[in-house]
Amino acid sequence: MSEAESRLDRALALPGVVAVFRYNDLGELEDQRIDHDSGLTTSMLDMVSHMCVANRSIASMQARGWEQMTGAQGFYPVEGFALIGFDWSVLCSRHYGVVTVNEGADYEAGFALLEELAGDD
Amino acid sequence: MGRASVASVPGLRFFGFPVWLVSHLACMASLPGLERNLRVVMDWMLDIPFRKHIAVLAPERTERLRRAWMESIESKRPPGESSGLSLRHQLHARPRPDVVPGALVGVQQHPPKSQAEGQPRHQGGDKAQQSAAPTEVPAVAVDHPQTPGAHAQGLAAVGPEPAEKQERHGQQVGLVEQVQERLLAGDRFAVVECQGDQGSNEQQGQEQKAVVDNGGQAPHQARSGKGGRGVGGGGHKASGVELRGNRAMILPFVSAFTSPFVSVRGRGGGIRDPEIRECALMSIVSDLAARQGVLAAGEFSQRGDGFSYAGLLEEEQARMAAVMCRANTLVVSMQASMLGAFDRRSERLAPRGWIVRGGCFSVCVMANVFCFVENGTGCLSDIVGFMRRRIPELRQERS
Repeated sequence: MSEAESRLDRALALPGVVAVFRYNDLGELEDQRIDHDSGLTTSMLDMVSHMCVANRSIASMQARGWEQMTGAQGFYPVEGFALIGFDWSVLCSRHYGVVTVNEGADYEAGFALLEELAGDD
Repeated sequence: MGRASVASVPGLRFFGFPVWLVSHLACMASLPGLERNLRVVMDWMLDIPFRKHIAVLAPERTERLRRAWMESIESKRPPGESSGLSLRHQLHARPRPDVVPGALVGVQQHPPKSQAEGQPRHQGGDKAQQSAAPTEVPAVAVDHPQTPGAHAQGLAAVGPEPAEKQERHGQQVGLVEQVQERLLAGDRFAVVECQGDQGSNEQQGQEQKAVVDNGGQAPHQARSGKGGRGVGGGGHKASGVELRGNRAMILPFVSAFTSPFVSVRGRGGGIRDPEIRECALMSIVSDLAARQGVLAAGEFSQRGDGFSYAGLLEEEQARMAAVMCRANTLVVSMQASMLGAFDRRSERLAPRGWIVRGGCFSVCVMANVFCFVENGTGCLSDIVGFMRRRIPELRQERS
């Protein structure tokens, strides 16, 4: 088992984590771990991966535009994007995403988890 | 009427106009007096044919915040250095969470305060400028040790060290004194902003009370002798300030109907009744802006023709933020719809909001309320939780 796969397994074992997945620059799902009790499917995660890439790209463009137009700094580079759903949230960084339950969710910890997953990626 | 609502009852979920109607009727029921009910209904009716005008909801408050912030910066700036304004000086420091090996992740929720340095682009200054952290603005000065619910044992949150707490408390005492001075000078909003919604300790609470007492002009003190009944037992508490009388009636009304969207018509604020306007300012945006680590907060119209904000943003920046947030919200909604085409179970991901995590600050949006949160100082989990509690229903207005 590779180090990346091991990280996914460890991440899924964390309380509150429903799924962990990895995707490429095109938003294609490459690897995933799903809590089978959640009802999430691979096809959904595949779509979510596209969503992650799209939103992160939009946010990056907006961040650069914002900094250029306002002179303010600190927005770019965008580290991650999170979708807050009714019951679950999806947090994503460049190549990794994690689905967590909203109840008691710690978003800072979630983004830190994504950094940990990315490692030297 | 071009509106959609969502209601979540344990085990069941309802959508659409009936929910919108029921929720508004329920709110109407809590509003006393036929005249007020008619006024509200007429206001709703007027919303249909007329568009809302763009207006800043809290220009005075924002200006006060900015001025107080600048004063705190100027007091720390070495003589001879040029002054600046807005976020641009603040957002260079990049506090990052510490990852604890072995535990996979561990986040220090309250890292030591960093000293921000930066060079503003627009002014072309060559000197690095030191500036105070945004939390030193009196409006957000009160320390709320809002340790979020740890995301399970594996994601433990680490609180501030005792020495750090003491240091911060010392800063707060100084800021409370500043606010007292401002109160004496007639800055009434300082009272509201200084009232924490969760008294973190007794001493702090006493200091806050002293602020109100010394000010002697608390804007929401009880008004005996005025008619009307208060909702919820004769009084309403918002931002730690006890409201009675008419204001106690107005505030729940404003909160229910104008939050998450506070519409302001016309120029110069639009809400003519000073009481309603005052209470409107205490809506979710004001509360958000007063939370620790929140640089600015605002609301945008789903129709894209209005916004309001408070905090460390210039008006044009707030306008841009509102436009971007609205656009992203629409995009996310569209994506969720497409996700639903793949699997109906994806409704658990039906969007309530989204977060963009930038290098030094994050943008958090829930329904049509947005806020800028400084990473490290602010706690996203806490703010998201606050917004989820305060925005119980999604309200969408179709353009």
